Amino acid sequence: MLFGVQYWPRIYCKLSSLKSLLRLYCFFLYFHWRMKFTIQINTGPYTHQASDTAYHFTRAALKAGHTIHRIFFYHDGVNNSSIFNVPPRDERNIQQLWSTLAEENSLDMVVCAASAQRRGILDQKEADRHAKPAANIAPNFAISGLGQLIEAAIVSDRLLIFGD
Amino acid sequence: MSVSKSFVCINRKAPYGTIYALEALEVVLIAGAFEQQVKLIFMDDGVYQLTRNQNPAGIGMKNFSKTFGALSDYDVDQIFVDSESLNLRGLDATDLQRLTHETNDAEERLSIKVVPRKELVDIIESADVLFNF
Amino acid sequence: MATLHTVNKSPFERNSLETCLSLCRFDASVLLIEDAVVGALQNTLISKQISEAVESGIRVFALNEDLEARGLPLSRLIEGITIVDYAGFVDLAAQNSKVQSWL
Repeated sequence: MLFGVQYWPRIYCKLSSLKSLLRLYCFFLYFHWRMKFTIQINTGPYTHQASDTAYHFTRAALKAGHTIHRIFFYHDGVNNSSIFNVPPRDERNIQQLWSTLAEENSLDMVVCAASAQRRGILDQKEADRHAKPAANIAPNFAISGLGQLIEAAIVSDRLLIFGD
Repeated sequence: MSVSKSFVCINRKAPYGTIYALEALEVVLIAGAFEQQVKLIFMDDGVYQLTRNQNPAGIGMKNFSKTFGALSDYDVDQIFVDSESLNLRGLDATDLQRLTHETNDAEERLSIKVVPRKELVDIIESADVLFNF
Repeated sequence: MATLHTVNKSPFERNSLETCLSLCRFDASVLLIEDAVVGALQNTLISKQISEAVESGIRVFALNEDLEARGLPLSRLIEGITIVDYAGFVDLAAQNSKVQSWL
């Protein structure tokens, strides 16, 4: 811990002026309040609230100035990325909400490849490879491996999991 | 990747009824492949994942419980089982698979430790990253 | 540093809140979201356990948007439970060193 008790005497000695105190305070604020989050979503849209909660959390985190390192869609969560979802007009379109949020904030949204293949979420390359009539992955979602989740967990400050 | 974190994966769901147990195992294997320190906790219905003699042939699924035996190849050799969860389900350690790993001096050790719930608090607190399935 | 525990299932349907409370350290925070907010009311099967957790120093929160969505009377929340919004959820995740999601 950077600001553990054992460091206080040394830091205190270095505080020769008000300016350095201010700099220390800014340093403290920056590292303690600007977090790098990774979000994992395990459930599809509509049946469970998890994707909605994750969406509202992500928006609030961005608004507070935090960084979203990656949003990882796992298990049935991959169904959030299907462009073939056509909910009634007076209802929220969860896939579109995610695509738009990603577009506006340059979010990295990754769909687990193994989970996606099991559940029929395909990009054009995979649709061609398996001779399927169409690809269905929505804009701003990318299919990639589970390693992307582990990498994100390693480099992020916090991992939040939303699911069933 | 040079950064190493301590991962704790908490498994609380029974196998086969849902996919969570299987996909949790995939996360653990990949984390192991990334050379992260991984500890596993099995509690609540998660203890059923470790039972011996699973045979899902009749329900047309793969027997993924055999994969637990490969965990030691990924240096995943700290597996904690909540004793209270076992007791509440009429199970004990003899109902579970016998998983082992080798120490540096080639000694065979048991990977599974049955521990009281209180001990799990410290294991959870020791983690940098927590996965829950 | 401490852990933020989130619970999203009704304690009358699943045992995740109970398991969570049994594994909270003294400095933990517990946030009830989604269906778990029904556990924030007084005089239920779980309210005694939550009150005991609050008395032992564990901080318990409930997500306002989920309480409102379900029409739960805020006047009947267990004493000591703090109401937060999504911004408060983000702050809790940042202030604690890790998040344990009891799914």
